[in-house]
Amino acid sequence: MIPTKPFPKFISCLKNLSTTARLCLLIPTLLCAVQSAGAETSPFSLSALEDVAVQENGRNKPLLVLAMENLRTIYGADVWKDPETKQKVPALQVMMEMLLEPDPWLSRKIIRVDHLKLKKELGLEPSEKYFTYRELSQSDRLQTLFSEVLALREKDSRVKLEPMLEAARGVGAKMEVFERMATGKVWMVVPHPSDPVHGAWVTLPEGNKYYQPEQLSAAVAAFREMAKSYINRDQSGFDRAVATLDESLRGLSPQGYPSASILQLEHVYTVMHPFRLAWWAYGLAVVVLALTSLRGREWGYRVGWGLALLGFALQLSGFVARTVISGRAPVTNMYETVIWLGFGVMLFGLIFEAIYRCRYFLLGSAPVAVASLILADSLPSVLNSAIHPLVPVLRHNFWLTTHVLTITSSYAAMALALGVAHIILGKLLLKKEVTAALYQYLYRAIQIGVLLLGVGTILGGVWANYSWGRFWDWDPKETWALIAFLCYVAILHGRLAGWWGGFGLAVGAILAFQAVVMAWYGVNFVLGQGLHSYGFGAGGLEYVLGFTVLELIFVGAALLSRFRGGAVLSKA
Amino acid sequence: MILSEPQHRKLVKQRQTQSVFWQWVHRLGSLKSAVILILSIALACGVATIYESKFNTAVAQYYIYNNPLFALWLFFLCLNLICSAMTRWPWQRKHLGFVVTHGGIIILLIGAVLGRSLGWDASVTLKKGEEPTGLLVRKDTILYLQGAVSGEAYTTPLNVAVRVPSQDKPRFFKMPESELTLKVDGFSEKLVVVNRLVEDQQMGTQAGLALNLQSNMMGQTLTVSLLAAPKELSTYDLFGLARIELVDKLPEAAKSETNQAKTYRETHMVFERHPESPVTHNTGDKLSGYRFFLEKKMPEEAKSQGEPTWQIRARSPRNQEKVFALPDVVGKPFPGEEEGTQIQVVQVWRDLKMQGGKPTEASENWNNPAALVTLSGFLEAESKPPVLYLKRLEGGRVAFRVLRGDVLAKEGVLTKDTAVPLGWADWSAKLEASHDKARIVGQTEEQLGPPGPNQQAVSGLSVQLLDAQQQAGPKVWLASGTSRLLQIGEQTARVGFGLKTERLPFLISLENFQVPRDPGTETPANFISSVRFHDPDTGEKIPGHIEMNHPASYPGDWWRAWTGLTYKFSQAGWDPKNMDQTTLQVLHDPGWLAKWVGSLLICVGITLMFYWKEPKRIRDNPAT
Repeated sequence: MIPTKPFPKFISCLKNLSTTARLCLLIPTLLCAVQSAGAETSPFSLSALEDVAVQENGRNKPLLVLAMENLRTIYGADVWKDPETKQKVPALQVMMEMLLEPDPWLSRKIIRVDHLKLKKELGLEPSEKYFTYRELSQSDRLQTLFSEVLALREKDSRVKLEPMLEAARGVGAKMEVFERMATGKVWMVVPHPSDPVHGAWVTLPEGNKYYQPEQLSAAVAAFREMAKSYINRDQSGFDRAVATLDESLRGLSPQGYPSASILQLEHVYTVMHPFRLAWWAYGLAVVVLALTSLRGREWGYRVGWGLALLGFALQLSGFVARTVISGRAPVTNMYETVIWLGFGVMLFGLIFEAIYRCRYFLLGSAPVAVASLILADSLPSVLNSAIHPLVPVLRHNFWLTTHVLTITSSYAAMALALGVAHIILGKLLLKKEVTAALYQYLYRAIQIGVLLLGVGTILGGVWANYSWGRFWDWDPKETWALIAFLCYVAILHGRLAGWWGGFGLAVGAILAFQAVVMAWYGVNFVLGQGLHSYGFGAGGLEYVLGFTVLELIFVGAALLSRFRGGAVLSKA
Repeated sequence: MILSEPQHRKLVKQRQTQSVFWQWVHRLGSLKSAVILILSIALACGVATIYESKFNTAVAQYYIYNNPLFALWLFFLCLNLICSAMTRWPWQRKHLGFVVTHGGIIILLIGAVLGRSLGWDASVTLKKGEEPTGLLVRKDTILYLQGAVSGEAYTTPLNVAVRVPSQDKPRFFKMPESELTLKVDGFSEKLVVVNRLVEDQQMGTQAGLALNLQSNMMGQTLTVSLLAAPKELSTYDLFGLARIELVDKLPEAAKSETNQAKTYRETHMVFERHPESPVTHNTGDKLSGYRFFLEKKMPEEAKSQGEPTWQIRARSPRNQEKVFALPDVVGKPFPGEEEGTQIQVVQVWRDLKMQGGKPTEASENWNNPAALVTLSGFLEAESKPPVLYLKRLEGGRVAFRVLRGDVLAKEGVLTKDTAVPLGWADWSAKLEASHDKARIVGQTEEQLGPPGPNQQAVSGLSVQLLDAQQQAGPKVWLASGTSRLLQIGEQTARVGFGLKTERLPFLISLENFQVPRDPGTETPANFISSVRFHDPDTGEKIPGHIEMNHPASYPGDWWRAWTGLTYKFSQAGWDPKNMDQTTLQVLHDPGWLAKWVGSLLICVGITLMFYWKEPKRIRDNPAT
């Protein structure tokens, strides 16, 4: 029995997803020839395609960056590893193959699910990290969770979800990105005709929204040619086709189309990982400085300085690049502030080191910088490195730079104090002598922090008065900034009163930093209340709690060893 | 007077021993009390934020931040700051940073007190095309109690967000100028106005009836009250799903066969290897929502041996699944979930191959199994929404007839005893009342299910009056933003409930509201309100422009902006469903100048304290 309509061609395995934007429709005849990923290991390079401009979430970027961000979002890494063949597929190749032949990807383990309870709830294997789109989309329980999230969000868009629902929402967001990749909707390469910067871009099949078919024909032909040569592993044909494609897309709306240099910059920034290189340099600096502390002081000190400066230069260049790419100060989300903390702590460390030349500032700051940069580098699901447009309230460069930069710099100064305090307590634990100068250095670091924290909090009040219409209303973020400030102020006053000296200052710097952690991380990730909701997130609690517990143990050990020695708190 | 360090110390010591006043100044301004105050405030704030996270903002504000004890604590802090500044008197140059910082904090706190006592923040929702308004609402809810003698409105705070009045924890308010007491023993956010049928032999002019409609699926129970006339009161529209009409004569259904509801046919080509991509076709506009999956099922024991069996899994639009063994259903139609739906597996290919555009079998091995499933049922687009016609009968019964278009779906008699299913979804109806002379009155009631058509859920209180003898009057719901007359015996009293209001000395209206989006997304990039301020004295209409981070001030003189003696309008909220409406936050803060100056002094003071050193010349040669 033959149905009334002829069968469509067997091209789509994603019929349940929308088919409107499927670029595959452009190349229906070629698909049978597509090699599945990893079946063949010919060294085919997609590098020509990397710098073609594309728009996503209201921002224009190179295709490579889009591919890497998307893969990081759904998979948590820049390269997808096939669990069966153990072959590594780079992000752009994943994106390309998903476009040409989405079907096999539906049953590839590419969507990362971390939340243990959620996995159990959905009947997924708890020890597995990655799951296929198919098994997730077929889970009725997950669909129910989605509808619960939607229902809650509809009532109150800023509602704090319980962990299970938050995790489900996260999985939903990943599936959505997957769908956009599999349907080709991410390929928004056709620029807005009059305003490529602010106007919405579309995919090639949707190009007729803006352009006549004859205007688009060159780009469509080039795209087909590109796909064909990719399938046939024709490297030179591929490069030629991409060059034509790039040219014809740029030609559609040359005025305001992202320049090759800005695309290149973002490409280099994304691939080079300046922040990763920076922590390598800092880490080496710490090793060299620590090893040469006892002997061969001078050359080791110089090498340490050099490495720290190198790391700083790398980090600075990363910041400059990020600022140029995003057009704003790089302190708008948790990832950026963690990186900024590493930067600030090194900045203060280097300045103080240049003044006092005691190597303690480098030894105190570099490990903190390394820790923060490693953290930012290794937790992509909690700290997302992608550059996204800001919520309206943050779109004000003056306030963003003054308030947020001041506050995060104060955290950095406090982190430097934390580092120096660790050196002091560590020395005491090892029964080494601590000079009065070292205590003075700690005091200097706390001073900077207190000043910046005070100024930053007040600036926050002034900004809030402008954007929210009140100066101070005990919003949790405000309140915790105040609490942290009060803690440090109490420590300074106690020292003034002679209740404690340098040792107390060191203990206090570590304890009060926990209030900074609360103001910085806890309000956004644990309390989840208040007006700073654009910074809210989930995850990482176990690391933060672990850090706090370790710090408390460390302080406890220092206190114990000191009072066993019969000393009193007030003597430095 | 510049003193040397020892001189200064001596002077301070001397006055401490000689004067009780100075003793107290030193005690109150001591570092010890300072640290205790600082740490206890920090602790209280920490507890408050945890409270806020656990309960809500209102609770934290009520119990801690706005608590008189907290204010007292801040007062002590202020005292401590003043006294500690005094202990250094006469101030030397080295005290500059210290004095400036402490002075700054005091001025800031004074600003906070000024802002609190003389200022307020409130919000206003403006709609395009509406009359200019000067009425703002604040966050806190209050009760309005009308004086029995003077008729004046007395207000008393009742913050339901902090403590919800309940049966177990009722709250009592003495009615002003009378012996009566108001008892508040409930709060609900699900109040709706329900039209109730009341028998009224004198005033009632029409016959009427009341039905109780129920749907378990939608979790809804509705009361429908109808009068014989006029038309608006004799018909009831149930969310557009169905209509209910009270008529004198039940309309007849058409008899002819041609008027039967039209049907659709749907085909599904399903593949074992591509379960997510069936090829579907429907004779109507859209698919039924049914899904079919061709699946292999291995025998339970001895997985390696034995032939697999094949099955069809059918998933209905409501996600109900049924599994059929393939041999059982091929060529044999079976019913679907909906009334009238027929499903049939028409043909199965073990190894599907397209040849000349036609499906054929390449081999007898189950290499690429596929099945063709057909589905037929009533076309939804063709089926008209049902109408339930009701006719009052003798003896308090009601005859009913349900027609779809002019096809009869159901008929029968409604009674007060049993609920009768109506045939659309799972709605059933029961008769509540039927009167010859009746009226319809709107009553505020709590509705546990979702609100019915034309109803909007609001919040409100359950209230009743108590007289001097503790006799209770009838308990009624008092909706937010309304007032009503309560009764007990012969006595009455008017009470109201709602948000506290504030009035601007001028009026404001919305000209335009815009939400630019990020390119290619629905994400708002900004919120821009164009407003007009109407000056009542001059009659001038001054335009204002408000966007994120750019508030508008009115009156806009510079000195007012600096002192806070103005009204500042900031963008606060919007409704994605109504783009002609914006919510603004309005701030009136006479303490602004003090807050500003205090803040500046704190910043300058800390900097001076840490980084300003006395010039060496003075340090070494203090004048005597």
